[in-house]
Amino acid sequence: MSTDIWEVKNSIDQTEIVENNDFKMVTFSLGGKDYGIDIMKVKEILKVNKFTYVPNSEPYVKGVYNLRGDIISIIDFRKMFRVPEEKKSDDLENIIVLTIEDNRIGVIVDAINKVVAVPSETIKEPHPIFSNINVKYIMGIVERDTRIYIILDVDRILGKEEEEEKEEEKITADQPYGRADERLMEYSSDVRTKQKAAEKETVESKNEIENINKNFIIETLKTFKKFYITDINKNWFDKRFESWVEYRRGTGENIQLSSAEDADKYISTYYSDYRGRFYSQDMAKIISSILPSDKSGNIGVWHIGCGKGEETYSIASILMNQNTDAAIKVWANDNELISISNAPNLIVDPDEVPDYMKKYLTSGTKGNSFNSKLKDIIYFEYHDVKNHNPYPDVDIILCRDNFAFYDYNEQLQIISDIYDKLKDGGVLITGDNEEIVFDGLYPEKSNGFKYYIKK
Amino acid sequence: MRIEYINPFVEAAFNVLKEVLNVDIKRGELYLKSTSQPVLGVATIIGLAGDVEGRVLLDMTKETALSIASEMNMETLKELDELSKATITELANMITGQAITKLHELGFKFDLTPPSMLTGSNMVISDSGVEALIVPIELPYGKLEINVAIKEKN
Repeated sequence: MSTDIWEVKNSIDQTEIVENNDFKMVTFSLGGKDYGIDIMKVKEILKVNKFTYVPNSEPYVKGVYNLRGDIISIIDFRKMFRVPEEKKSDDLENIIVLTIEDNRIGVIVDAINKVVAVPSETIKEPHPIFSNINVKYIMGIVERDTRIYIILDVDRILGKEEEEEKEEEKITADQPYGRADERLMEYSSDVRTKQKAAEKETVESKNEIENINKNFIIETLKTFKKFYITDINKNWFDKRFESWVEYRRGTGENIQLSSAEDADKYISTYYSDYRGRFYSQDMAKIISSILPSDKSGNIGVWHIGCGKGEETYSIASILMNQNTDAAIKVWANDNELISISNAPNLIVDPDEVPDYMKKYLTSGTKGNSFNSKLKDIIYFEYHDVKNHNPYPDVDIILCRDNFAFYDYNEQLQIISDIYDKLKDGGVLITGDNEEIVFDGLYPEKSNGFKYYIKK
Repeated sequence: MRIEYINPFVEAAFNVLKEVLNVDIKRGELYLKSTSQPVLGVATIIGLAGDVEGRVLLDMTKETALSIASEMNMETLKELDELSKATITELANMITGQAITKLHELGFKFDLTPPSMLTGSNMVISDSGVEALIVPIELPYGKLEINVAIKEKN
């Protein structure tokens, strides 16, 4: 009995001596050198192109990519570490998708090699002369089959803690600073980065104050109105900021927002023309030119944030007028119960109804409303678009002035839902002050009216 | 959820509870919910079929359930026995039945499944991906929630 135990123990000892490859890493090359990343950090590898460019980001941020519905940021390690780019036969990039503190970040490298297992005790401390990459970001060096691998500490390169540390340090150009993903997140942090850059270049302090003011307004809009400034509306925000400063100087008031009323005033210019109104004859003409006509078969419309339904009735009338043989269905929803409750039985003043909608009017005991021919194709629902959207694929989606009322992550989810539900060649109509950058949705313009086509 | 569906459920709940309990009823603010949510303790589920798919969930604490059952049977019930369970499922049936009748008058065709009751502590209902309308109702005996999820058949 005792011999048995001894033998077992002995054999364990032996295997330990023979091989204990407990550290596995994914190896790749960058500027002709071999690198490794702990396999536990790697989610998957990809070979793709077509990234969605993110304006105003750092040069090493290649953009964002839609990975089966998850939006991930793509960082170019070659640019980040100033390594010369290798010429490639195809335009597909090799990407390692990493999981950093619950976030997914894709990094572009020259070539992905294989998984190499080494005993962790053979990993040596880095020596400063080894690489173009700052020693701080190197976890260690290991030799395997005559090749030397530099193991990168991706948590330090892309992690959040680094940012705080860096905050106090003077930033030198070849050091990656901040967590790239974070920077993509919200415009407020973008402003912060710009602010940092401004400090570095010792530009006038006026700029700094402006950035601080902007940040403050971004925060107060969030607090008072749950109104978020992100990539979608930052251009509007910058313009509005200028006019706001001018306006408040004129009235002698502080430019900061001190109440919900101030915030309402600030965002009043954000809303699109025809919000909560019937489209005029001219507007209807423009819209009708971008919508399908003389179509038979099914036409589906999804109207997100329809309010009391004025725009929904307009769109439905336009479609009915120009597609007499089609089966049209309009799903219209809003998360504001009072408005949406009034929508199905909207009482209208016939004088305010434009000509193209007049034929759908009917008079009842409570006043004029739309007849069942028009009403029957519209399904008004009390529904929040951030929840599960149980609709079939549609040809037209209207989502005007809604994005700002959702935070960045919700916005991303809504946009990818919109993309999923829109048929190829389908039309997306957004608010006048909203700009969407999403792979597969292409902006178009007709008589000054902006919309997107899914291609 | 379609606007047309909301009122029948709210009205039915209000009418039925008022009729069987004869007390003051207050309705809370309606809202939407989509994540998994804790169940108060006694949950009665009725499935909906026909033009739509969905379910109605009548949710309350055990104490509230006993008080309601006692009131409806005109005797004091201390245990969640057969009689009290049957009473609460019947209440759910009455509310849903009346709502369906109202909807039928509006031209919507719904079918019901027989009610089933779940009891226990620390229960969570997770039908993720489903958005539910919550109708909170305040009774002198406690809170009662009617949780309606209806999806249009496409």
